[in-house]
Amino acid sequence: MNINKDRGEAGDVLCAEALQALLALSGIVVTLAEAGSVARALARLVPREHGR
Amino acid sequence: MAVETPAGLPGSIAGLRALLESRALTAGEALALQGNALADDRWHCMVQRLPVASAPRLSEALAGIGLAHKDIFRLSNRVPECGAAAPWPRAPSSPASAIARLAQAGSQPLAALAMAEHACGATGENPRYPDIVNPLDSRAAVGGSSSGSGVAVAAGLCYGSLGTDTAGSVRIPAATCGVFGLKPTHGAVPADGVAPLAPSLDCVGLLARGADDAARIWTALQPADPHSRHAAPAAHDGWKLATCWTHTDAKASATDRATQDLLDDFAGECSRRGARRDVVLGDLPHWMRLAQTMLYAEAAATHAPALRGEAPALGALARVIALPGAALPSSWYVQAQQARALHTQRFVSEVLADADLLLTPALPAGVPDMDEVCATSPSFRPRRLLELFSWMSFVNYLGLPAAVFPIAYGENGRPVCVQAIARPGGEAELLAFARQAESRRFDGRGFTRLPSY
Repeated sequence: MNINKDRGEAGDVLCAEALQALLALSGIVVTLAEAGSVARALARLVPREHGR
Repeated sequence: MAVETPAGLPGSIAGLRALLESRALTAGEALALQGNALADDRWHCMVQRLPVASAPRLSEALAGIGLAHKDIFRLSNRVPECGAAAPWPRAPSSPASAIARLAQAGSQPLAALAMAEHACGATGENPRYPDIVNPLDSRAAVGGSSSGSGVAVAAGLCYGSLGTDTAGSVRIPAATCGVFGLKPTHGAVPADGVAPLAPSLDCVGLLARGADDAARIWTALQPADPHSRHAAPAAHDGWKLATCWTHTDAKASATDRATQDLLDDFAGECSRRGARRDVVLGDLPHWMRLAQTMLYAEAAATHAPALRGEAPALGALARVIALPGAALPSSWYVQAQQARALHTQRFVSEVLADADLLLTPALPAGVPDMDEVCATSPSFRPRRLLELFSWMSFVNYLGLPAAVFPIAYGENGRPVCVQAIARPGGEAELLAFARQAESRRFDGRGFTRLPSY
C-alpha cells in the first residue's frame, strides 16, 4: 500500500520518518517499520470527507 | 440427576437450583464440587483458581452457581493482570460494581480466566499463557479477547462468565466456542473496577451456555428497579426482523453459501408470524472506520505511560492497537465522537424502523482453525483473522446491544452463529429471542455441546 500515492515507496518512507519524528515529540520511540505500520493504519482511517 | 458438567452437576442454573432446593446438596457443597472440577483445566482457560470465601444463602438467586470471570475485573480478593506482565497498576481498592452486584445475588467467582493481553486481540493468543484449547474441537480457533470465558463456559467449568467487549471481545469467543454471548447497550453495566481499553466502546458483557442462564445472570447485574428498561425477558411471538448477510465493505469476506442458507432458514423460522426485510447497511464500512478511530485514540490514551516507556512494555498486539492513536489527528477522533449519536439515531429509525431486531452473521465463513488466525503460525491467513471481527466493531460504535449464539452445527462439528442487534436498552428482547431459538433448535438444553465426562 502506498501512503503517498504521488511519490510511491519513497513517499512511504518519508511518511514513516515523519511519523517517527512526530511520535518522538510525545516521548514514544518506534522503529521505522513500526512507523510504517502506523502510517498504513492511519491511511485506512482517513475520513471520507477527505475524499479517499 | 442428569450429570452434565465436569463437577458432576446439572448443565443449567435452573437444574442446579432445583437440586439445591431439593436439599440433595448445599450451595457450599455445590461450589466446592465446581471449584475442584476447575483443577482439571485441560483447556488452559484459567489464570488462577480462587477460594470460596463463605457459604451463600440459598435464598440468593445465584447461590451455589459457579461463575468465573475474565481477568480484567477487580475482585475482592484479586487485582487483575489483564493478560499482561504486571497487575493493573491503577486498580481501585474495591471490587468492580458488576462483581459486587453478582455478589449481592450470592455469587462468588471461582476463578480468573485467560484473555488476550489488555483485551487487544480477536483470538485467545497470548504468549504469557499455555495455548488455549477450544473444547468443541482442539484445532478450532478460540476467539478473544475474552477467550478464557468462552472456553470455561463451553467446557462446563462454570455456568457463566463476565467478559468485556470493545470490538467483539465477548461475541467472538461465544461464536467460536458455541455459547451465548451478550454485549449490552454501552453503559448498561457499570465499568468501574474494570481495566479500560477504550472507554467509549468498552462494555461489560456476559457468556453463558443457554438463554435462561444468561437471563438469570443479567437480572442479577441490573439494579432492583421495577421500572428498569432492562427488565426480565418477555414472551414474544412473531418477530419482525431486518436481515443483512452481505457486508458492504469491498474488502470484507463474503458470507459463504452454507452459512447464508442456515441464516436464511433460521430467519424464516423466527419471522413466520411476523415479517422479514432484507436491508443494505451502506454505512457499515464508515461505522467500522469510526469505531477503529475511537479504539486507536482511546487505547493510546489508556496505554500512554507504556508507550512512553514509563510503565511495563506492551506486547506486540497491544502495541499495534495503541500506537496509531498516538499519531492520529485529534480532529478525526472528535468527528467520530460527534457523529456517533446521529448514526445511532439513524440506524434505529431506518434499519429498525419496522423491525424488532437486525440479524447479521457472526462469522461469515464459519469458525476458522486456530493456525489460520494466529499471526505467528506458518498457516496464518490474515483474511480469516479479519473475518472474526468484520461484523462486530460497528455495534460498539453505535452503542447498541447485541447477542451472538449458535443456530446450528456444521458438518465439521463447529457452531454456526447469528448476531442479533436491538435498540438501545433492548437486552430483554435479545434474551427472549435467544430463548426461543434455543427452545426450537436445541430443545431448550443450552446452545453448547458439552464435551463428555
